[in-house]
Amino acid sequence: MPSDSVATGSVVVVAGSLTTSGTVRILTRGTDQTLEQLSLPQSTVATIYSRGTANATTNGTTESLPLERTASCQSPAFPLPFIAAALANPDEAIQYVALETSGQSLLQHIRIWNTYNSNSVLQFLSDFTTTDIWLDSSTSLPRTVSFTRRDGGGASPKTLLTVSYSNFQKTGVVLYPNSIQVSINGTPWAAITIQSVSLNTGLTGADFPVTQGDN
Amino acid sequence: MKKIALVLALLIAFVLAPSHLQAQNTGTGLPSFSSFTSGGFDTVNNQNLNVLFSIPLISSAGRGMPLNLSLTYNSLVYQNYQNSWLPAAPIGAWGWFMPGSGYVSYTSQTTVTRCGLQWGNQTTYSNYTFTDILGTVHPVPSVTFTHFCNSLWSGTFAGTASDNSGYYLNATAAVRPSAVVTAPNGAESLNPLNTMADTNGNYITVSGTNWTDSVGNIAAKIISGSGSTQFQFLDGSGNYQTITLKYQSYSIKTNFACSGVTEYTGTANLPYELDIPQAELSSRAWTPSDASAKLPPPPPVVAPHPAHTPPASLTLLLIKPKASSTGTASSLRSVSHPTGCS
Repeated sequence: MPSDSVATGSVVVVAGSLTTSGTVRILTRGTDQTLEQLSLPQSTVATIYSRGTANATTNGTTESLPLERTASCQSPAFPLPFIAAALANPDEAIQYVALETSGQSLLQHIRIWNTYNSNSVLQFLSDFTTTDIWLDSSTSLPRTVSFTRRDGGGASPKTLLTVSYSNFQKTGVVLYPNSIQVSINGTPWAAITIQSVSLNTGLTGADFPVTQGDN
Repeated sequence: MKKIALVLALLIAFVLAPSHLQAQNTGTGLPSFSSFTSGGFDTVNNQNLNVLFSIPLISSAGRGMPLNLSLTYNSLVYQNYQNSWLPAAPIGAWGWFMPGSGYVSYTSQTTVTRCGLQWGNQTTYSNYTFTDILGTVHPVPSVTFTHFCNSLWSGTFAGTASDNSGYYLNATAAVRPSAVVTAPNGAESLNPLNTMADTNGNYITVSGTNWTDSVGNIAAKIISGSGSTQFQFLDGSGNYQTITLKYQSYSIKTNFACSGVTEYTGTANLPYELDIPQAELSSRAWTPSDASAKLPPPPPVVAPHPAHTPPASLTLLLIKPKASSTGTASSLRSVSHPTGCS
């Protein structure tokens, strides 16, 4: 498990009738800090997650995200720290769903969620952390991660994000997916092609600047 | 000179008009101060082209509060959320409103705050709306409050709907963050207790499948199954008659083609058929013997052909399957947004 990672590449975003190309930058540190930045002609968007808090920055304007949104804000682009964080958390619940078929592949479908068993104040967030993971039964590599993102409870709309990985390339001792497809509500949204990956570069907490908001 | 005075008068009238008259109303149902075109069966909102129709299912007399249940549909189903088309709340209903007393919606967001010597949560509840049985959304923006550190509540807990419909929403401590809604006629809808009451104490309450009125009669039963919902009501003979609403899974995909907005794809369990018992529809056929009666003959009805047995029920197809090129029924439906990309 690398102490940190920096990945850069290109991204093609299809949103409605608009198709744009840009660059992507994905940073991870440990298992609980991520930064995902998309630079597109029309906007530059970054989502920063750091140890239970998160910010979203759009064209330089930073917004402190509510806890409900934060619960699903950790970038899944590099699946190793994403899954390792869940496995290392004693509050995490893991459910085996089924052996499923996708095309010619057999996939092990598991579901994880944070029970917040050790922190009763945050237990209301449990529903916001449910994540489905499909592992290739022959390679054990993650093929797809799917979760629902919401800004809040009650009638707040739900957005289903599905992240699919392929073309795993060895970088150091880890495998990094060089092709990442992101779908929103079942519609393909972003196609990310990773062009370079650097591990253990010495990132610090300052590279994941998260403010607590006005509270 | 007269023309200038008229223009000035109109301008002043517009400036002084209440804000709700100037505001654009884009809701479903029958919002106050809106313009509609009634086509008989359906009603179209001229501003947002929402198509509304309501199919009466059950009508039962009661003390003070007669029970009238209808199946209502609003065609304006999608909303633009974070540049993605998503089904509007209530999610999963797809514009169909089952009989009920309306419902309260709100959103909540939680942030971290200082609770004494420790950090804790503060959850803010806002965007309160009451959706009536026709799907009309009555916003109550004045109601917004915060729950500090899971103990202290602070804010505005009650207010009237901003659309001047007369609905009053009260997030009392007993049901908070849900709320009690009082209609202009004084009838109360207690959420989530599923009871409506008027100012004289008459009520209709829902418990499980049974809809019970003030005198204890089970006036209706609504039994939900996986593929259908049964609406049962008492006929004149004291027997329950059944109306069946059937569902089927459809694949759906939007095709709004709005720049920068992701289309929606998914599946939806939609009503496609309503089976109504013949007993409810039937009237008697006019016969020559009626001509001698003192009462005028009943309204003309279609008499059953003597060689055929009348059908036991009437089937109302709500969705007609579209034939595909292979000749099999295709369930893929593509829709366009009537009001553009907003």
